[in-house]
Amino acid sequence: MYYKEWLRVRRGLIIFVIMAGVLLAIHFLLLPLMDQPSNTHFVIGAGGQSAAHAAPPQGPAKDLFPLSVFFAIAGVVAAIYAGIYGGSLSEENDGHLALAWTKPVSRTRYALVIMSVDLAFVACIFVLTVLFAAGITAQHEALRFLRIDRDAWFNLARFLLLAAAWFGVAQALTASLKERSGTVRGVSVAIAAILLGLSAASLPPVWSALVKFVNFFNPLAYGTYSDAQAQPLYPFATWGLNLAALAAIAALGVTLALAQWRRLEA
Amino acid sequence: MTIQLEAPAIEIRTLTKSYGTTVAVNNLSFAVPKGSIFGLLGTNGAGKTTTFKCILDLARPTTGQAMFGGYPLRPDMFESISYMPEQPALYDCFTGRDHIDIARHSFAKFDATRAHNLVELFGLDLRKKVRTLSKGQQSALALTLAFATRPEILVLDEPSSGLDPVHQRNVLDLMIDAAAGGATVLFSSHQIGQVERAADHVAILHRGTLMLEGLVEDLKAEEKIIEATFAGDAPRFVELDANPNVRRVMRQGRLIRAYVTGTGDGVVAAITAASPTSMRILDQNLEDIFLAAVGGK
Repeated sequence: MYYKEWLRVRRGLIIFVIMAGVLLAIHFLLLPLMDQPSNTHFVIGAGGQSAAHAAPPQGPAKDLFPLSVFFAIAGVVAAIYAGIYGGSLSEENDGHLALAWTKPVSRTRYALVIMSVDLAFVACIFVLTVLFAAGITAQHEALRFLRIDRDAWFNLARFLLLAAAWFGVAQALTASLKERSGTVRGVSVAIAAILLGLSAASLPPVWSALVKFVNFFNPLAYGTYSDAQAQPLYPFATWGLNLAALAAIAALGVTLALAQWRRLEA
Repeated sequence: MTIQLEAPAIEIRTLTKSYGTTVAVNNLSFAVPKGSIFGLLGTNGAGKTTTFKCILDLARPTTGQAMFGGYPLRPDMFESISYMPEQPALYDCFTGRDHIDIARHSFAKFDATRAHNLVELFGLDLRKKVRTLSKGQQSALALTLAFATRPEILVLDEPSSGLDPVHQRNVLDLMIDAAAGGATVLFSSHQIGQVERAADHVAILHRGTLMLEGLVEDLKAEEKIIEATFAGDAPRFVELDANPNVRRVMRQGRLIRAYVTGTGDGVVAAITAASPTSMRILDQNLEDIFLAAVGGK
């Protein structure tokens, strides 16, 4: 049963390679117009968008590329893929259960295999994105400016788990749906982004507490990144708790999805 | 799967399935003998597909259960049970080749040579994506997947739906061939001629209720048509309406036709008393039996 999911992820991989190829082609076309690397400030935040703000060079060149930037970019790309592949159980429910459930394996195992393949693929996309970003950087002979920042390994785990958590949320929201799974996943991104935005807004104490509570379950709340020295606002105070929370969201989402999917009827 | 020889291949016990206040299948019980071809007949909405889904655990029965070879269904039994749903349930974005490969990776008993032969038989182009295939070609692909594992039990819901007459015949031949090899076939069809041609057992469902069940030959022997003509309009026989052996009475001008169970002696006597110009007793075919079972009197 893993083979069917492999065919799906293979298609996703081909799309990734094509997109990377297009980006690479654009990059080489624009290469003659490019200057030397400038000081860049990355913000990965609401809705998973990333923005790069060019700023005049200020510090030493070695500060230009903290390793975590690669992980943040890869986290966004992996989360997008997680959102897409987070509808895999719902897609089975859209007219294919009679085929899926007459395989010689239990429903639980079938669903777990599907989700495991999807998650492995999302992790693979994360790694490929890091490699792609590193390749572009190397092409500019800028890898020597790479700095292994203090939070690098925390950010590696955080952005990988963020994609997994988003996958879990998408599965939990759509596993019992036959149609409109894509719409639900799209709207959920917008809602998560709004909740993240509200956490920074000035709200009455009750609303602020409510938003803060809901954001414990919002993967995007764990996905902010800034190269600035200001302390990032994660839902929990320690690295370990933030990582554990992301892992818990992923596990809870997958468990809820499984419970719903097992109870469906073809 | 080890199937006990003495147990029926499939046994349905007091199966009921309700959707809200609608009873789709009502207290259904019958057994499908091992090695038989068992046809399930019924009008649209009779509960055939729901029955299949319930026995294969694709839908939860309200009450009752199905046993396979004397055991409740377990997932590993699908290595020996093939199901072809009425809507083939194939993946639009995958090709026929992809589906064959998926099945090959899913079933230990998948027979690639058998699959290749079935693809040839149905003239399938495996390079095409499912979304580009006609309904008949999709059915043919689903049949290929169902038969390619050489299952011990085949459950086929409208297997010839959308197929041309040549391939409809092929499907009948495949079922007969599978049964000859010891497999059990449970299938539904709207085409009574096909059921009569292939099935040795039949059950007739009407609005979720089992109306008739048994060996086709026995049913035919039990069921008779008494046909009589009169000089004027055929008289109305009130006593026939009250006779439990009379399934249905049809009057049309000078002709009266009574569908009866058993010898129909009482009916013959009643009609003879009205002095018909002619009268004959005919064996019923499956279509007559079906219409009598679902049509009322």
